Amino acid sequence: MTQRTPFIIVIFLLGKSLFAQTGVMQVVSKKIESSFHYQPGYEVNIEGHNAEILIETWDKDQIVTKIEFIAKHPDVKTAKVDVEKINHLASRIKNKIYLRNYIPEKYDKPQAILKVRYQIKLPKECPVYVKNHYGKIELSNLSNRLRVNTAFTSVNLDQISGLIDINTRFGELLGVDLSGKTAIDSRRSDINLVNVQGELNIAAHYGTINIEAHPLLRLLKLEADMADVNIYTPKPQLVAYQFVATGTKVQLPPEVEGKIQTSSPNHELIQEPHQWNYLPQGYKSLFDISINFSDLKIATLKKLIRP
Amino acid sequence: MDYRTEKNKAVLEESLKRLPNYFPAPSNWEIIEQALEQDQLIQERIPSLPRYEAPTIIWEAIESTIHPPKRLWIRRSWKYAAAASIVLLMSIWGLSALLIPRTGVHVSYAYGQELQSSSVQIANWSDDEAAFSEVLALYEGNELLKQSTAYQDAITELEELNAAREELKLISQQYNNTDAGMIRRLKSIENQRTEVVRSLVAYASF
Repeated sequence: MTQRTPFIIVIFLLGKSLFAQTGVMQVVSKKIESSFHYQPGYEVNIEGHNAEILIETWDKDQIVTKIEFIAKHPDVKTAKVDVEKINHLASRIKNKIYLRNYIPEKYDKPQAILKVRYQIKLPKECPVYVKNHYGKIELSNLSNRLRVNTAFTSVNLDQISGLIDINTRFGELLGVDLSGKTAIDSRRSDINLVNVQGELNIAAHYGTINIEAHPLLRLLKLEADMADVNIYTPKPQLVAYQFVATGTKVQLPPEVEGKIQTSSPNHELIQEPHQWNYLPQGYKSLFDISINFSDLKIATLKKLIRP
Repeated sequence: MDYRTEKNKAVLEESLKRLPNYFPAPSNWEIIEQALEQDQLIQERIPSLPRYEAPTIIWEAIESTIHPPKRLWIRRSWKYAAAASIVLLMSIWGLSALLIPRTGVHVSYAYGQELQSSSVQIANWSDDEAAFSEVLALYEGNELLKQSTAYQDAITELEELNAAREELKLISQQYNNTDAGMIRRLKSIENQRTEVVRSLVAYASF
């Protein structure tokens, strides 16, 4: 060993500790995997906090859930302690399978950055209730009953049918290929629906709402306050319309514009409450719109703009 | 007596048929089902029970009472047979794990490292609160303005936004979450609050 060796070791240790403090995060992840036998009548009931929730379907009579807690901190001991501060529940009580994550108040405030992920696989006919406070939800191919209740969450729904009930505050909703009966209650959220069919009932306060309608969207009932609404439909002249509008700018497609008796010319602000209807013979779709202090545009859908 | 050598076989069969049938009361099945369900619940809950480490003194006491067994000579052929049966048992267990759907809980841990992303400091949550109070002070003493629908609506909206901001702040602090998504949501709420405050300023100076 040369005389310089201890010096090199000191430099190495010093460099390593500096590096550990400034650049490297120790990542500890705890995964809880549970599986339950599915039988008709069961429901998966999720309440997430700061969570990314992914729900997919498969052809097995099994519900498999993976909940992952991730703690990141430059010091591995802190990460290990903090990952245990996230409590969870994954258990079946009667016909409900409850999944939860939460940090009990008794713990000291965690120092590590904490993340939560749910990955769930279930039969497509399994009803789902999912609530989340900040984060993300992705759901696909469900066919029975879905209830979503979120705040500060991005919700992505893909190919969902049956009864769909969504409540969103301060979030975003993207729904592609929704069919059945869909009800959306939205506050300060942006909504994008692509290729929606069946019945759609929306109550929205603030936010932007874009709807690309399938020809089989039989009923659209929309109540919007202070929102920007754009509706695209393949043949707007074959749709029946019932409008009630106040303080709103309405823009209609040329196929419909000339046929509606309105005291207020198109593109101009309708100041006072105004109501008008257009019911073409043999119509298959009805758009029942009540809108206040908003912008409403209805246009011909040329081609679906899939995200 | 062997049944096949029975001389009066027909009589025996006839008598057997005449024996009365007994069925358990339907409530018995319910009781059994409930007991099974409870068993399953207990099994599911076991992994979540707290674990307590035994004090070292207990292990030491146990260790002191154990004497290592004398080594037994086992015939080589027996050893091979034992090894083969273990392999067989393991493969049956492995196959059953693959083929039979299982229910239960499994907890695992993983450790890794990653480069720290450039950390973002969320600006002080209450930096601009003085400006908000200043605007609200414009209305103090002016009951006529305060009773107006415009003022009432703006205040309701501001309260909703303030509550949302508090909710977001709580979750950000609980999970130390300062990712881009969190900051964008905060930005959106702050912009909406700004809009309300601006409308309050405009209305007060109207």
